[in-house]
Amino acid sequence: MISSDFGVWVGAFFTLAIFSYLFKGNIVFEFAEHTFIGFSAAHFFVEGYHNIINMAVRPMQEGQVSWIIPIILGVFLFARYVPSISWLSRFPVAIMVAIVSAAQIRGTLHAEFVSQIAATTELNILELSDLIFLIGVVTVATYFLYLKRLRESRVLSATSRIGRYFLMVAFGASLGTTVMGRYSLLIGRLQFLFGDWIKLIK
Amino acid sequence: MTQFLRKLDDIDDRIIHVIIGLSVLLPLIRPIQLPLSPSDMSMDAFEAINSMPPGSRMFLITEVEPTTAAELFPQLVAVHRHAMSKGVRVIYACTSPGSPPFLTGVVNDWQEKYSYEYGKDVVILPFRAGGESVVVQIGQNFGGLYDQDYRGDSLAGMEIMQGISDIEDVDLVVSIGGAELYRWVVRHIQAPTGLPTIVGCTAVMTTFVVPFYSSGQFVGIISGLGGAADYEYLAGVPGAGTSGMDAQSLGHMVLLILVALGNISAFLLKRDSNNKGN
Amino acid sequence: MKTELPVLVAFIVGTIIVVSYFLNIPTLQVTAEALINWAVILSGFALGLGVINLLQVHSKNIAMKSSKWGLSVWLILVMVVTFVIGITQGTQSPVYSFMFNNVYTALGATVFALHAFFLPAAAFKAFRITSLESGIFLLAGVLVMLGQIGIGTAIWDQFPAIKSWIMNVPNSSAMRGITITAALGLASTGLRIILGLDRTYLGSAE
Repeated sequence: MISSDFGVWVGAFFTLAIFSYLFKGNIVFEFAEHTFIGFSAAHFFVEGYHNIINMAVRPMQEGQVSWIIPIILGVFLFARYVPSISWLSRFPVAIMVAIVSAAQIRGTLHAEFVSQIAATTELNILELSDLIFLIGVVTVATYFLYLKRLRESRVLSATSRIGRYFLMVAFGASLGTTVMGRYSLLIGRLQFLFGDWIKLIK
Repeated sequence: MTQFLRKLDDIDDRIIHVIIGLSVLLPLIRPIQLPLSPSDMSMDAFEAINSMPPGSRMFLITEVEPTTAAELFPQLVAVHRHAMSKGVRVIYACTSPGSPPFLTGVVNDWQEKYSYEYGKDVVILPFRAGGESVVVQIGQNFGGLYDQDYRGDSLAGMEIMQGISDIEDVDLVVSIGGAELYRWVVRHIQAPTGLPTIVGCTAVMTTFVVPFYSSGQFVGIISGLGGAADYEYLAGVPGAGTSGMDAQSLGHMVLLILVALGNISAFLLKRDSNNKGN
Repeated sequence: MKTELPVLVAFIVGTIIVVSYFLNIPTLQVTAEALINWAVILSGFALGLGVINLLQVHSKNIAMKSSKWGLSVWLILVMVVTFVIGITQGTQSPVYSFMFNNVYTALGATVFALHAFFLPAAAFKAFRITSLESGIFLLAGVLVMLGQIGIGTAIWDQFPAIKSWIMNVPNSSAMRGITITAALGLASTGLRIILGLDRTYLGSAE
């Protein structure tokens, strides 16, 4: 009826410790919370460490000495903790930010701007759903693009009001899917507590 | 009546917590097997994998981790089982430090049932840090990013990796992630290569992903636990997704009743105070 | 110098990445690919920053014997033990797997499962129809909820079709409007960073 697996008991303890917060904040919850933060920070560090070993240290040991550069730049990241040389940490940050920004420029314009507009131009406005779709895209885009000028123009004001209604439908749909998402997490934990630990769920 | 409504309005949150907990727990203990009706998005996702010939290769990138596992892990399991039963080979990769144990879990757990071979039918690539940068590199220089699997074995000698030097050498891309992964995939893999792409996402993210499905950039979407249940239903192999759907139903209904009660009580209280004011 | 040089580096790196996408020059391609690998390696280092920050905050707590300093001792202990086992025995080792599966997974999943309780409580008290907008919001939410659960289908078999229409037409169109405008914003922000007009990411370290 109840699990004899020590690991399941440990998991059940931490699950109940977190759920105890629903009654009120308490020391057991804080203990579990600190365990979570400690483990996740160290786990990230460990995965990062193996990442560095595999991608930079190993190739360097095999003779590709150029990998010393990202390693040095990586060490520079920690210079932020030494005030006199903290500016060194700006170099690796600049490289990471520049790469992501550049990749976003090229990727976003293609996938999220051009492709999305191209798909909108293919709508058949003689069909009601497609017509509604087109009105939605145009009015919502207007709402965001001309946010500052809304009060100046009656046409923009009316268009953006329709856009706002479309946004409300989208946010309502988000609410619906969010409810399902949140319940899924609870279901997962209850399946663990009452399925793996106390074997009430078959 | 007014007094009752006021009491209802000030109800202790803990009473609501108990009601929610019971409404989700009871159907898990005693399932009622309510009907499932798979969505178009799930059916398209299923069909895309179902139509792959045996031996073809799928690249599945994920960021499943403990915080999203309740929704994403059932999706991962459903897709893995379907692929293995069809003889479709899978190359797994991840962008989150929390994902590797889930990938090894899914590959090890089903190996006996579907008798697939690691290195021939399935492979797990190691975690790479950097989020979007990793996906950029997958799209641009796959071989430069990965030369070993997660155990440190060379990919060059593995049958599944023969002929793969580029992401374009795979037949289908699947992204199973909770936050921005689908955007990185559409930007850096789907758009430049045009590869058929399926997205598995948390239910919360579905509304953001749908425009890419409407535009044809994604061929299907597996949305949250419901999407996993749809997939299991279509594949005819009930699993963690299906078993949670009755609980979803009752939980949803309790929430809907609470919203209705809240609105009725607010309306009546407002009418009452207006009457008193007059 | 301490600001201009990193900005110049960002400009050069960013330009190489963008240009390599449009022009097929082998040297540029190879350089871009190497730079992206650098970013992946640097991100590995960045994952360690969280540990250093936590060590700073919690060592201070312990040194000052502030309230609940014992929890800080525990957090550091968990961090050190996890780190040592992860490095020496690897993340696939039985001890590490035990901690990941039974401690980390249980905690991570449960912390977020708490939302399942808070959301209905908030819905009861806050989701009130007070305007046309809030009415549309709630109506769409209710219809999507009814369309995605078995009870909804049992009540009326058209709820899934209605949900599907809401998701694929008004929702998708609104989200496409957001996507298109956000893409413009993201691209212009990226351009500002590469051109050195936006330097906020450099912080104020001197």
